[in-house]
Amino acid sequence: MIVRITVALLSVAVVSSMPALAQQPRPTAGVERVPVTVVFREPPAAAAASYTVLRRASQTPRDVIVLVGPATGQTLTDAVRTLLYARMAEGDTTARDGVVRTRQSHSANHHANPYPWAERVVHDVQAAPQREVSGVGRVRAVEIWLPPQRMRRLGGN
Amino acid sequence: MNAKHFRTQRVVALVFIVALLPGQPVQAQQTQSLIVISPDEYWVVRPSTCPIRLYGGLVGWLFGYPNGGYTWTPEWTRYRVPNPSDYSHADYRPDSYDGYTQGKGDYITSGDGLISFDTSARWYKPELYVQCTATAKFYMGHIVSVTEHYSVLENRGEIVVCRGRGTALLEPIGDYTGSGPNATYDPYSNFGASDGCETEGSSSGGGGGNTATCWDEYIYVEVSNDGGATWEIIWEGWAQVCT
Repeated sequence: MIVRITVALLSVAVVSSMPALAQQPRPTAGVERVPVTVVFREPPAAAAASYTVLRRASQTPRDVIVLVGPATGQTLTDAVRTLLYARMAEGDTTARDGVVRTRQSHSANHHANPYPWAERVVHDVQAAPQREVSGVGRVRAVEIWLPPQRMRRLGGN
Repeated sequence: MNAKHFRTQRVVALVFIVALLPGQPVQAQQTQSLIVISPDEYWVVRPSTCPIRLYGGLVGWLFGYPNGGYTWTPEWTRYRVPNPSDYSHADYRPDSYDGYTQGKGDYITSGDGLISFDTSARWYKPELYVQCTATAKFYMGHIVSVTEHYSVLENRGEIVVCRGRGTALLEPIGDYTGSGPNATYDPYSNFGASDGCETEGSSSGGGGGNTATCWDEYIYVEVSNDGGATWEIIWEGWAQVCT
């Protein structure tokens, strides 16, 4: 008898909880980001600020932004944008090693503002301790995380 | 009996024969239909096996699959045939469902839906229920072509709108709460907040406040595999850039 009552109570509990489960809001979709290592290479004297974006298929870290010279937040922003375009075109991970760059067909009238956090990251990497980065050498480096591009296709190709 | 009359009779005879055909054993319950275009030309439409993969070009989705006012990936993979005796109906999921480990990007996860081309919507648990047919075109009694058609009978899943976004890139500007001095993006965190996609009508979430100024630029994305000596264009086209 006790068993029957227990089973009945459990059944009621389960059934009554089902609508609640169905009405639960979809959990807020957190976004797992994709890393990129930003390194700072000590420039030769009077070197201009520049950057290089490396993508590797098998080495870790997979994506590396190499800043050279008196880099600013704008320099890092441009590098991040280049990497994001590459991730959109190839995926968040690449299948082949390479250096990536972007070109515009004409000089744009607008210029994208630097990301508000970019200047801080540049300062951080310039002050970071040196460490060995595979394929790059012993450099100052920090790791930052970017929103996934998820193989979304750029239109018009 | 003149020639025209004979052909007409032949078409009628073929209609009769086709109507009697039992069809493929696996599709025995399926029907086939006849479309008479002229006395010399007719089409036979019958069920066909749904392919393993569907691509945009095959189904006429030139720049992606349209659904719910948005455009989505045109590449889909058959993952289930609801009725094992009828391969002319199948369920499809977006290609590369677990693509991150394959180097294609984890654009679909259990809690994170497919994203539209313009990034302004997500499609959670995207599935297509597809009917596959083949149309054989006959002319003068001879088959001249066979065309396969894939009709989406049902779009499954839930499409939600991403507020406050709509740029070509998912950019690290304040965890999708807008750019500017109040941006809250933490570049050292490996996990971000919601990307601002929420069900229409919902007031929760941090979508608002997109005051970005955007414009289009024609961009070439190039890769060099020899240290910069030569460059290969991996994509070119218009992209939206925002401040």
